[in-house]
Amino acid sequence: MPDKPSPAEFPAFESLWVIFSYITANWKTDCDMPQAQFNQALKWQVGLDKAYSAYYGATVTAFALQLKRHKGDVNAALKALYSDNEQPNPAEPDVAKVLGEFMQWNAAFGGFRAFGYQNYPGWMGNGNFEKEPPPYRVAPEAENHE
Amino acid sequence: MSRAIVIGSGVAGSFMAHKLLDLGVSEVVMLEAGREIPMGDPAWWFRFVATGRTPYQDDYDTTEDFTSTGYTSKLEGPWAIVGSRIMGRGGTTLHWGGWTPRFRPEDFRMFTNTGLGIDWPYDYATLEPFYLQAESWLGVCGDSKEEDPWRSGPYPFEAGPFPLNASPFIEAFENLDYNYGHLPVARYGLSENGSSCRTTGTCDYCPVAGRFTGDLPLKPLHERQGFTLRLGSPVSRLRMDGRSRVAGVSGTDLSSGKPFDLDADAVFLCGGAFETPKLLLASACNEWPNGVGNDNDLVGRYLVANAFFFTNGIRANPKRMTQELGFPSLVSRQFDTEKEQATAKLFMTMNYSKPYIDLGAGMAKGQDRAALDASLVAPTSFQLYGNVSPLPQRDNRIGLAKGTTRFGLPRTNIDTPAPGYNEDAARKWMGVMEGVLNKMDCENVKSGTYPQRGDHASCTTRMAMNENEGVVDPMHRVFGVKNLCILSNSILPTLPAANPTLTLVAMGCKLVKEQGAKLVP
Repeated sequence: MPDKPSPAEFPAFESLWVIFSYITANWKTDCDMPQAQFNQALKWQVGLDKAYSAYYGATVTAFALQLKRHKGDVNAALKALYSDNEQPNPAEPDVAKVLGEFMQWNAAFGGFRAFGYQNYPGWMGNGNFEKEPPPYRVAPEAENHE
Repeated sequence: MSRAIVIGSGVAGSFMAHKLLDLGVSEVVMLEAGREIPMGDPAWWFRFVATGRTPYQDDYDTTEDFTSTGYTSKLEGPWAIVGSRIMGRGGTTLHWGGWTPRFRPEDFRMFTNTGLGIDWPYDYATLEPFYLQAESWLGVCGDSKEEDPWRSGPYPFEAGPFPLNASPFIEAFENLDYNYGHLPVARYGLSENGSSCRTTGTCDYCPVAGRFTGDLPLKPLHERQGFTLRLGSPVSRLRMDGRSRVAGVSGTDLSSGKPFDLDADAVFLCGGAFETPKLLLASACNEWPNGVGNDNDLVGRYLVANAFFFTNGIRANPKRMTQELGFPSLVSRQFDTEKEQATAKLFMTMNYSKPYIDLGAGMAKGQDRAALDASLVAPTSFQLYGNVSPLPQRDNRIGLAKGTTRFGLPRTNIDTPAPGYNEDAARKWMGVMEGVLNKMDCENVKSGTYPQRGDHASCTTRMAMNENEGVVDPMHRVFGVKNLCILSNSILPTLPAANPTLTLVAMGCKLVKEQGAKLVP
């Protein structure tokens, strides 16, 4: 796998990043997944399963069609892309799969903080609590449990 | 020159391999039927976060790999062992939760206390120093101030504070006057094998090797002179040299399809409670016509596993509790005492993954931000788990079924005609757990059982003082064979309510200390 995305393999890194970033904006999350990490994650997904090329391709195509339908209005196209592919009855299951996975990444890689949580499955919290504060909200009763 | 063969690459096999090399054995060959499984792989971790899929998902038994008759209880059908054990490099601890409680003193005296099963050949006090060693080997964190059961030294790592979602359970336990404490887990800090938890909450596939898993001790093993691991190498039989000595093993190299023979000075069976008795049975020969070590028809018998059930309730969630710690923390052993031993002991824990508000799933269903915010404080599930101690039943057994699995091993026959646990006691415990959730003001409180998958399966080549009661002696040797040892859950004389892995490692520590170089005659 090359370090830099090859246009032939990933013609749509930028489109997918735009699609991903809509989650942060629309749901007002605190996701701080860098684009470089996002690109790497896409490459990893394809590396583990070549079918992801088709899933991502279908998502980019669906976005392009929405852009055309909405005369280049990116926000309107993204809104339609997501609303057309809501579970449990998405218009295109492959697209919904990609969007759903993006949502999981978005929530895990920082997005959860906007909801008042201190930790969430997928977030690199902290460890060895003898030396550092725990990365999760603590039961108040526990402080008195000796 | 001496060569030892270790069969199985899980927690027991890698422990044994390290210790044999420490003792000066010049060559240790580990044979594993399964394949390499990528662990700590960032690509797989991103996939796991996105989809929940793990790289070992295809390495479990399938329904094609076993036949099963009998029942666990009147409510459940026969055992169905899909999902309980992983056939691959590192074994089943690749998916375990890292639960590492000690057994309690009465657990070593089941026959004396109840007339059921057998007593262990030694007591808790004898094993206690080795529990400390095992906790170091696995990197266990716990509350060193907790004295039930008693301990002679601290945990390698102290437990972190209870998470917020434990607070309603703690309040209920206190109101009901039930004891509670920190569940010891193989997490948080650095063990002898190098794990270091970052509290990612993705413990089924950790990106940083943050809890003990069976692959961790294999990494340094590969760097040790004299160690070889052969993957895809199922062993089909033990080759005997007369009645009292094993000469080596026969198996198949799955990559080439060719059979192999390997000689050894000693053989250690570390393949778990299913494969260990199966291999002894499959090795029937002139000297052992019923299977090696099976003159008394005990190999494969006394099959047990913990019964698991849950109690769920719905409760308001104004503090937006969710899974933030991501692994088990709160346990009550109120009903895990000698008083309950004759019927069923209960090991009661909080389900650490509830409440869990899946933000991504909410978005995918089209919930907008306001709807998501509302869902965070909406009434949601709180749950307790119960592990129940099983009944030792002679008629419940593991055996060989016709045919071969994709791992090149004989298919497994499971026959459990006798009840696996005391159903009346289990119902009583459900009532107790429902009482806890009622105390928490939960509504719609309901209990249910999980199908018996064989998690914690044990006792199928149990340890005893003599060959009329068990298959291995207190030094883990198969009765009658001086160079054939077993380190596996199969040697547990009895299984209580608590998880067995820590005790298994402690037994290994005791074996090494007491036998030393005599392990390889």
